[in-house]
Amino acid sequence: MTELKSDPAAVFAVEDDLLPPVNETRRFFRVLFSRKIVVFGAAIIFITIVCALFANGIAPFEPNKQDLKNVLAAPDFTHWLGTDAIGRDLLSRIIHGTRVALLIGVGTVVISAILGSVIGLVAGYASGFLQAIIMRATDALMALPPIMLALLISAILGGGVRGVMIAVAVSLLPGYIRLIAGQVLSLKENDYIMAERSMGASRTRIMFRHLLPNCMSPLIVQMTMMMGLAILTEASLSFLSLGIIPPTPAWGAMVYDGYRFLLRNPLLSIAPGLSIMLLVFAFNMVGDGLRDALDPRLRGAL
Amino acid sequence: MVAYIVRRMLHACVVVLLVSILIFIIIRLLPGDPIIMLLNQSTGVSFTAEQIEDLRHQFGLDKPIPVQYKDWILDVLRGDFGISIINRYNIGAEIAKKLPVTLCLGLTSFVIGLIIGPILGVISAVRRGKAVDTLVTIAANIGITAPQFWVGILLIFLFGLKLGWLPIYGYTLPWEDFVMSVKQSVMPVVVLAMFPVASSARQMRSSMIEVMHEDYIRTAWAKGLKEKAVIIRHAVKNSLIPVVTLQGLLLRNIVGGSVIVETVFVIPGMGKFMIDSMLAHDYTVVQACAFIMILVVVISNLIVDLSYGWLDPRIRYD
Repeated sequence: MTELKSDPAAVFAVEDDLLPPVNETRRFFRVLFSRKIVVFGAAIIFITIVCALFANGIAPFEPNKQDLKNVLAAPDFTHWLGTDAIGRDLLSRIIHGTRVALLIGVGTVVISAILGSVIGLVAGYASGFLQAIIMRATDALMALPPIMLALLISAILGGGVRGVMIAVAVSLLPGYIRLIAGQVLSLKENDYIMAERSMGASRTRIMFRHLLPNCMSPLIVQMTMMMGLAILTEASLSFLSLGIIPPTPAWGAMVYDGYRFLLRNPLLSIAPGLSIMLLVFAFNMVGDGLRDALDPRLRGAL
Repeated sequence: MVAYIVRRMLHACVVVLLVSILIFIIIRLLPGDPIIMLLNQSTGVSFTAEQIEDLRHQFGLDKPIPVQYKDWILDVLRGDFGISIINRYNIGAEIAKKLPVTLCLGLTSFVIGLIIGPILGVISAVRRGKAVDTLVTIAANIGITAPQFWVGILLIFLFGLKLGWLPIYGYTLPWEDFVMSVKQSVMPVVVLAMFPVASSARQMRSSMIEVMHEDYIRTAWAKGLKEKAVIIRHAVKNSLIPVVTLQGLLLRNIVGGSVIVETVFVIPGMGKFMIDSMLAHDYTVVQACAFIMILVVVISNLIVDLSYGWLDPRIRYD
C-alpha cells in the first residue's frame, strides 16, 4: 500500500482503469461553468437574449414614444431611469437597444467567421503566389486600427444596421484570416493530411472535411471573444454618429445623446454605457470559459 | 542584422503603399460629391455647369482613379497633401499643427501602458490567488471591456463637473503651458492608457505564471537567490517577450482610440480632424489623415519589431 502511494504514476494507472468512461458533454459543461464569473457572464447573455426577443413585452413604454411634457424627468416609479431630451423612457430604450447590440454582435461575427475561415483556409493551404497575396493584404489591413476601417466603411455605406454590420464584419476579417491560416499551416504537416492526399482526396475535401473541423475550437473561442469587440466597435461608431441611424435605439448613440445632459440626469449616459460594458464583459468571460473547456492548450494563445 | 532591418523596412513600405491604395479607393466611394457640397455652401451664388467642370478639373477629380492616385501619392511623397476642397486650407500645414497633439497624448499613454501594465502583471502573478491578484484581474477585465467614450464621459462627470478639479475639454501642448497641458492631459491619457495597461497586465500575469514553473527558476531558487533577484533578474526578463509582441497591437489601438478620445474631450488632434472631415465629406482631408495615422502605426510597429532582437538575443534574423 505504502509502495503504491510513493509512486504517483502507478496510482493514476490503477485509477484510470477503474474509472467509468468520461461523458465528454458533461465534462465540457462542468469545466465551462467551474468558475463563477463564467456563470455570471452566461446569465448576462441569457438575460440580454430574453430582453431582445421579448423587448415589446418587457419594456414598460414604447422606445420611440415622445412625451414632450415630461422631458429629462428624474428617475421615479413610472420612469425607473428617467426620460431623455424628448421624453422617451430610458429603460425601455435600453431594453430595445439589446436588439441592435446582439444583432450586430452575432451577425458580424458569423459573417466574418465564415468569410475569414474560407479565405484563411485557402491562404494556409494554397502556396506560392495566392498565399503571398492574401497574407500581404491581411498584413496591410492589420496595420489599420479596426475602428478606423469600420469608420471609413460605415461612412461609405451611410450607416444603418446593414452598413454597420458590413463595416464591423470587414474590420474583424483580418483577425480570422490570420488565425485560420496559421492553424492550417501547422495542421497540414500532419500525417493524416498526407495520408488523405496520397489516397487522392481533392483539395476541397481536405480543406473542408479535415482542416476546417480541426480549426473549430480556436475558431469558436475567437468568435465569442470577437462578439465583445464587435459590440464595442458598433457602439463607438454610433457614438461618433457614423453608425446606427437615430430613432433606432442603440446604446452608443444613447451615451452620446445623454452627454449634453450630464448634470441634469447623468444616468442618460451612464446606464447605456454600463449595459455595453456588461455585455462585452459577459462575452469575454464566456469566451475564456469556452477556451478552457474546449482546449486548455489555447490558454495564452488567444 | 542589417539585411533584416532593410527587409523589414521594405516590408513596411509595401504595407503603407497597399493600405494607401485601399484607403484611396474606399474614399473615392464615399457618398456626397465634394464639389456639389462646396457649391451648396455658397448660397445665393449660382454656378454654371461649365464652372462646376472647371472646379472639378482644378482639383483633378475629372481624371481616372489610378491617375488621381499616382498624382496624389507623388505629391504626398514630396510632403504636399494638397488643399481642403471644402474649406480651402493647406492640409499639410493643418496636420503639422494637429499631429504633435495626437503624438503627445498617444506616446504618453503608450509609455504608461508599457510601465504600469507589466508591473501590475508581475505583482498579480507573484501574489497569485491573493486579494491583490483578484483586484488586478478585475481591473484589467474592466479596462479591456469598458467603452473608451463612456469612461471618458464618466471622468468628465466626476472630475470635471462634480469636483471641478480638471478642465473638461481642449488641449495645450506641453511646451506652451506645461501645467495646463498636464491638467488637460490627465483624463484623455487615462482613457487612452486604460486598454494598453489592462492588456499588458493580463499578458504579463499569464506569461509570468508560466515562466515561474520553468526549470531555470527552480535552479535560481535552489541556488539560494533572494526572491527579488529570482523575480526581477530571471522571471520578469523572460516573461516580457510576449508583452513586447503585444505592444504593436496596442499602438494600433491607441491610434484608433485617439479618434474617440479626441472627440469626447474636444481635442484638436488628428483623430478629431479626421472625424470632422468625414462628417463634412471632405475627401482629401480624410485621405491625408488616414495616411498619416497608418504611417504612425507602421513606423511604431517597425520600432517594436526591431527592439525585439535587443530584448531577446535568442531571436535569429533569417
